[in-house]
Amino acid sequence: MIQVTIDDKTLEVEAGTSIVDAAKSAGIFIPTLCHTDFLEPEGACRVCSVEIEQNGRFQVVTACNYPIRGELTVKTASERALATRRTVLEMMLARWPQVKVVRDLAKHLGITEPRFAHPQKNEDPHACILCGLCVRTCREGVWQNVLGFEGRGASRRVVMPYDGVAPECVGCGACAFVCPTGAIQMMDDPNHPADAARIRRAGMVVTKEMVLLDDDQCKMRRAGTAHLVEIMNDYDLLPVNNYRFGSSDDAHKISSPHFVKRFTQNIQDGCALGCDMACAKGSDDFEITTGPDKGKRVCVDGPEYETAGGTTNMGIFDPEWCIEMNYYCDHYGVDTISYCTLMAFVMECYEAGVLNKERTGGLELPFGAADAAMEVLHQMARGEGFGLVAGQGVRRMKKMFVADYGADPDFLNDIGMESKGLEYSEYVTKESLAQQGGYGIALKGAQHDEAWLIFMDMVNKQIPSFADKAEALHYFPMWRTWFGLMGLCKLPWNDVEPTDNAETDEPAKVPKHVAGYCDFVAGMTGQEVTPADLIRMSERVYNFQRIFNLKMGFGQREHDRIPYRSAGPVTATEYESRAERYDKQLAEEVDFDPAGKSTDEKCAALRTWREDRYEKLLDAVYERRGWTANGIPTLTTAKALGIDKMDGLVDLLTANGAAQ
Amino acid sequence: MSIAMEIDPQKIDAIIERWDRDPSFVIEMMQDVQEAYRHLPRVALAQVSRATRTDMARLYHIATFYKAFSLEPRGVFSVQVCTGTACHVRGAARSLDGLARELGVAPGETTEDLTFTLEGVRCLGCCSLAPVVAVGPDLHGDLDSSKVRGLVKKYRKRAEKMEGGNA
Amino acid sequence: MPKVTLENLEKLAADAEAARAGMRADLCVCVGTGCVSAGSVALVDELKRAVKDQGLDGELKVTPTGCNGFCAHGPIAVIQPEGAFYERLKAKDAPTLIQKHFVDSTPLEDHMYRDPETRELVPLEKDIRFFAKQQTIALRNRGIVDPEDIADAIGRGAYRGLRKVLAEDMAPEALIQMLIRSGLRGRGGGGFPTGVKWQSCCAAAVERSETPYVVCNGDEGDPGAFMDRSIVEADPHAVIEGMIIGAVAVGASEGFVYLRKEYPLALERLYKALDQARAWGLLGDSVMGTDFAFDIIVHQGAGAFVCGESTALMASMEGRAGEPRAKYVHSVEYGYRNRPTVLNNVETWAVVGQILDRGPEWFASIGTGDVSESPWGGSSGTKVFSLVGNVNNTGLVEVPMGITLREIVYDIGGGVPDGRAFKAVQTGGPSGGCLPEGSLDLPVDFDTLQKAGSMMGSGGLIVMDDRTCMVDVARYFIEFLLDESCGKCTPCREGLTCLNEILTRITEGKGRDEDLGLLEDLGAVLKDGALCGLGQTAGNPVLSTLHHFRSEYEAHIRDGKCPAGTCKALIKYTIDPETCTGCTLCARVCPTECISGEKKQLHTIAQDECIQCGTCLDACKDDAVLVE
Repeated sequence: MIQVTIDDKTLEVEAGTSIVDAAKSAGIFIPTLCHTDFLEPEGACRVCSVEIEQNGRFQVVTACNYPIRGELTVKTASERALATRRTVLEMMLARWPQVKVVRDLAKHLGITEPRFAHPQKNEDPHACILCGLCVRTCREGVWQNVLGFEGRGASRRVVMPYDGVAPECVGCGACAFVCPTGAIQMMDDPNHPADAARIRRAGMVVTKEMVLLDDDQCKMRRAGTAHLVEIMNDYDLLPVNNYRFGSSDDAHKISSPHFVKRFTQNIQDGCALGCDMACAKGSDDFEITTGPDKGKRVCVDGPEYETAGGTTNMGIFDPEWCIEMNYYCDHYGVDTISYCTLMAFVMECYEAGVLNKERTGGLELPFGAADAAMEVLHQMARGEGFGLVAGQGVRRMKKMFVADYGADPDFLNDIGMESKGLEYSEYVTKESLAQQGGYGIALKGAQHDEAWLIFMDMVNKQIPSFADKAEALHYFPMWRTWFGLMGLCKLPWNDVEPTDNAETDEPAKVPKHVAGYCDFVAGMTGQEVTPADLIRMSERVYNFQRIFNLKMGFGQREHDRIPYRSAGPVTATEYESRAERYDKQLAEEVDFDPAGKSTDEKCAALRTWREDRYEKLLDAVYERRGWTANGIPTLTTAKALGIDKMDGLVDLLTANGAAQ
Repeated sequence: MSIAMEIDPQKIDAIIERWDRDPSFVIEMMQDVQEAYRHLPRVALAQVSRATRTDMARLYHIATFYKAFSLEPRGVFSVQVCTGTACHVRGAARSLDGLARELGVAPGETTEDLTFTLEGVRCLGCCSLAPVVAVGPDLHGDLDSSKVRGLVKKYRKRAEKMEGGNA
Repeated sequence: MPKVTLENLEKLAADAEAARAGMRADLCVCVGTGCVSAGSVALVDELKRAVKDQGLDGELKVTPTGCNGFCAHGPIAVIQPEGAFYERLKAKDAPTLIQKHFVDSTPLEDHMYRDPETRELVPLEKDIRFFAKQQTIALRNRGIVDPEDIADAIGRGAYRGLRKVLAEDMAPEALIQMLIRSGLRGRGGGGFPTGVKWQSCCAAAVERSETPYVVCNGDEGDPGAFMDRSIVEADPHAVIEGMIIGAVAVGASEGFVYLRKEYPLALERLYKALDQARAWGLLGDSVMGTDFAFDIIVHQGAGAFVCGESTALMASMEGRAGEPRAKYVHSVEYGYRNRPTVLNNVETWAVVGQILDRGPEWFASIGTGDVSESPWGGSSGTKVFSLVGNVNNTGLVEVPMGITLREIVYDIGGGVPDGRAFKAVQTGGPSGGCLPEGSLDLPVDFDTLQKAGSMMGSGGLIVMDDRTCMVDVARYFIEFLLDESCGKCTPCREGLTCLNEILTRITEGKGRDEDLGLLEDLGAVLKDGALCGLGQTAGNPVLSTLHHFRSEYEAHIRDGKCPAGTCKALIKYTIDPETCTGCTLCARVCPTECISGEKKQLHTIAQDECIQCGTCLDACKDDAVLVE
């Protein structure tokens, strides 16, 4: 801590604190114009000039960006400081005599008429005073880099390139919001929304939160989704060795700082132009070490959390390898999640003896076999060797290994992490029943984008009963389906939340943001909508999709089954690794005394209990959704939603026992 | 000399490659583009922006900040009158005025036939030869206002010859 | 080509010198920018041809060299080792020069220097008064070394200082202490002790375990100054050597030179020198065969005076508009790409190798004050100045610190031409000030000039005669600075606009009494309120002229007169009936054709049509055009 005297007050501040902040904490007001809390101080307007004394030296400095690094005396209103401040305002008043913020500040300093004339005098009360707040907000705040300066010296102006409207400008309105003079006006949206101002107000809430809160809450803008690696590891949710474990001592080797240093920061988001969250990251100037592009320096789109989590799922903890795998998956048109999960399955099969070098065409593929795993990826793309087998995915591999190698089908079904044929995404769901349902019931297969309930369920214990879980598994999949309907991304909804979100009735739903989406729809269409209306929109589509699945042979209870690895420990090793947790559960919840029992016995007891709970969960969810016990929307449900008029729908439901 | 301005994306790309697509060298890339086309064509800037992942707003600021750049085509001959102090005290302002009158353009402007661009520039570092006027790569020392007319005549002739050679 | 190592440098140097000594003579032809513009490249070619034609190939060597310094007399050739000086040579003079000087052994009098006062011929360079009082360190190789031949530079002692550092495996702190003991202070204008700067950078680098950068500031932009350009053009290896030594001292592995694109010749020679230094193993993975790795990258300035300011320069090197940032945290801590950065200007880097080679005590023995306790104790070494303006011998001079302004202007510069009266000398570029006659006996060093209200700056010395209006000079600098202001901070952008407005008003005869007070106020606020060095010193030209030449301002305001006869709105041109010879030259050049008169008759100016362009004044050979 450093002692600093400001006017007559002495206080202690941390090294690096600006004079403005120190003064503020002492209740001393220093006028500013180009300064705001959420941007790096610029020191451009010089309105905050103060006089400091350090080691007997006197100096006028700007309070906004002068970092206190040693003992210091500050005079905020010394003669020299005031002379500087006054003359600066006098110059501005000479140029922009009608601008209110300039007039007010000048008046505050006792100036009403400048002593000199300005050749560029501008009588517009909304003239731009070149404070640069808008340019810096566009760059540092919303990371859009659309606004900038033109020229230099007296001809400096704020413009978009070529003085037009840049096609990259998404009209977020942040610049107009921070402008102190009203110089920036928003143009009418060419899409002619019903109420553009209402949309902008709703958008500004999100923009402001992203700029002010993301660094503290989620670091989406700095690190992208890769920041989840260490969080998942801490909560035992990071898949390791085909979902056997949820954390690893090696996780730090692949945590987000390794990726962040590779990312080019502060550029427009590569995912959705104009997104304030800007979580999409690119690893620049990355040198490829294998395959057809060996030796090339490339820009890799990613990695995201899933790609890193998939890497640990293969027992690999090498960020460079992860980025290269990310590159080749993109290059070959392969989904990184599917690739990682199927490789993790292959590796477990290899270690279990289902596969061996002969069957893999000479590749050794235990967990952690990074080089061989990359080779499989290249083979998949070339349609050669073992790549031809692995590339068919977990579901087909299971069948092939049983048929060709006589593997135990039960074991493969337990560890083959897919549902409805889609490979699991990269979260360990063992301790969250609700999330098991989230994966299992999801229409497209084992994906978490319908519902991510682990924290609500496992960490915060907000949904203890089956009814609670069923409600969550109704609401959240519908809510997220709505984003799909609108073509919106889910992340801005709840990855950054209002600071008072925890105090609302249903924090998990982020009610203020839901209200914002209602404003958005109403502003766009001119029709008022309630949160329930939004859910209703989804229910119609969601139920229709389920019925469509049914028609295609996927929409029944049996298709919502999940591999046991996602619900509990399959092997003794897994059980042992978390024995304390499982023993406790057996004793307290299953009514099974683990004392003196073998691991296999305990495993079996736990499994019976957990599998039963999953079935009960399905019952509860189906009931909540108005589906039959076999997981089929009833005709009543279809009628209530107004989707019963489709050709053949009644016949289909009737044939499947859902005619009631 | 042809003044047609067809922008060749491959040529621009070669310039970008010469500087390793490194965003720290966008100013150098822009200098090469300026030299090749005597201005910064908008499409060329857009190409530099994409290749180096540098936003247009920054490139536009650079393009309007540094004296070396111009968004409009400059003349075949850039007539640069040094306005450094040494030249100033030896009458450079009179030379500049004279050239402006002789060429019919104000400093910073280009003649309609795109032959000359007149500029007052900061010190060319040949103060011993003051006042100095540079026409393209040629430096002319001791060029007081009485010698302006002869200088312009000389380059007009040279420009005509060039066109003749082209025809 | 040989790789230079710690072991073979001496031998390579000896070989190069032996080759030179084996020749009968070396014709050193200046190919600096000034001489090149007067045709010296063709002169080199013709001299080579003449040497061949005379069959003197094995005896005479023709060496193109960097700026000789005596630019006003170019193109220049000096015959070494005797030192015979020939000036104003054209390509066509080459055969005659070779024939007369070497075959007939009689000097070519038409191209010898003639002392303007005594009218006597001065055959040897060292006897010319322009050179007599000079002492060269930074420019020691000017006019001797071929800047495009590294072997030639090594023959003249290049990289000897670096060899010493590497051979003795000098610890960074020991190396830095030598710099501190030498008393070397930054030649770019600020005069900050170089060793102390390196020390701070080193400390910051160690504390944050970051690799620092070394940067050479070659964005010389002071109007009326061309020291750096000449050094790079004449002796690029001196700059490279200095930077490598700096890199060893602070532990840098990358260095940058920021050089103006407006200096094409300097750029070309620097690129060549860097290529040769790499090829010879002086840059790269293994400098002089040691395990020290270092390389230098060049950035080209694109025309912005403000980029001479260190933080703006770094912004420009990062590929951005050159806008400065606050220096409350210095760039030795957070500089280029936020790493600790040592930035010195060309001249500073160019003397580092010499200091190491010849020892800090040698350097400290030259100059003023006592730097044995602290480098702030004096100004050691020499300083290069570009001596220009209304002075007879314009050119580049290097003099020991402590020499008086009078010695520079009169003894070296030969005084004011055309018998006009001296009025002021402007030092320090736009940030400096104008010093009057009364200041001429001040010794030239960092602290004295500052006390006198000007500054050393990077070394421009512009002499002004009695026809220079000081209000116009102030307006000129303010207009220049306004044009070059980046526009980021209010005082610089708006303050200079207002200053310019007031000064223009005064030069147009529309000044008011209260204007002088306003000028002083605005100048003071710039000093306290502006963000960077450019803005903070922007008031100096106004404040110093107001201080020394207040009466001239008052004459404009109160009497509506420009005593120097410069300000267009306040003057009138007439033709002196006594001296006009009726040569018609003025009438022929007059753009408004307002001068009339018959051949060999008195000419007159029709005042109604005269636009005060001054073309007649420039044209008249008989000084018959008068300014009222």
